[in-house]
Amino acid sequence: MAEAAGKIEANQKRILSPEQDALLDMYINSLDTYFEEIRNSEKVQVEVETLHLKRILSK
Amino acid sequence: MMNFLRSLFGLDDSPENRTVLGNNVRVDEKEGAYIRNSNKRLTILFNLYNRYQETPHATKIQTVYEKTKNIHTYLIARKRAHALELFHVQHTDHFINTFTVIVDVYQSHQQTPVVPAYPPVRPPVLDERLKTPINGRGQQVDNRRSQPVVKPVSVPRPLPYTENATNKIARLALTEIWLNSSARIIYDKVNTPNGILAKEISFTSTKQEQDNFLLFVSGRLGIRDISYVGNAMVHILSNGANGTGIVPILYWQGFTYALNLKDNCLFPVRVNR
Repeated sequence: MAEAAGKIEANQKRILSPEQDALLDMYINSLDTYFEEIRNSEKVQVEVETLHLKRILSK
Repeated sequence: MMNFLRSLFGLDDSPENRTVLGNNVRVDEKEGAYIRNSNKRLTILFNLYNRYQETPHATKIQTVYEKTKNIHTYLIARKRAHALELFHVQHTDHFINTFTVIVDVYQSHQQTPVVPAYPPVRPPVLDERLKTPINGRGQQVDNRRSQPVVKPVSVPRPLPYTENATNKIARLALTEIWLNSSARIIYDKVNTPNGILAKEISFTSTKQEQDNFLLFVSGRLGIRDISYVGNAMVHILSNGANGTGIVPILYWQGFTYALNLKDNCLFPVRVNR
């Protein structure tokens, strides 16, 4: 299976240099980190909102 | 630019964003524009993926497209168009630029042997050319180099330079000469106590005279195993003034050469017998 995939890859033309290919991987990783970050920041915001509501109610 | 700055500062006033709960009074027109821009970028990304489809990198580009789309959906669902725009400016735009340029350059190189004229240049490549003149020059050199390959297919405009050049080379390579058996060439003058002795070479020279001449030539040219063929009238295309004259013809490594005694240059000739 992996061999077949390798054959297909050999038939196709590589456009990217190894460096550019690595850059592509890095970009995919950075997309993941960004997505994680915005989700985390949302959690933080939820906490902040909760705290805010708590303070209003405790007054 | 102003929009971008505003989007930056807009992010900072989170207390205002928090008041969304009850009142929808402040409808941000920019948000609509941001979402439309984001959709455009997704389309561009998808087109980019299509251009990479024949390559082993296609799956990765597709991953980028899908992950970007996820972020797009996620942020729009949470009405964070500002953040989305910021994300695109910081990430997607750079990505699109880089990988469009890469595939553009690749395709333009692929097309040069087939397409006679200059390949259609897309705006990103143009941008890069303006930014990096070295690269631009490099491409032009490439185009010039590919012209002879392109020429036989179709000739969009005449190439007088190339044609002249080949003519000259052809004339030089196929110069035909006739040996002149009576002409004598004085190739060296030696001061002897009895006066100046002129060393001559001709078709009728003795074996000893010919050997002396060959020794003399070997010493000047630094080549060995040459033999003397004869003298001939040759028109030599040299920088010197009189190109036509009687010169010795040498045989060296399977070919005959006319020797220019003034600058010790050899010119390939064909002896007509």
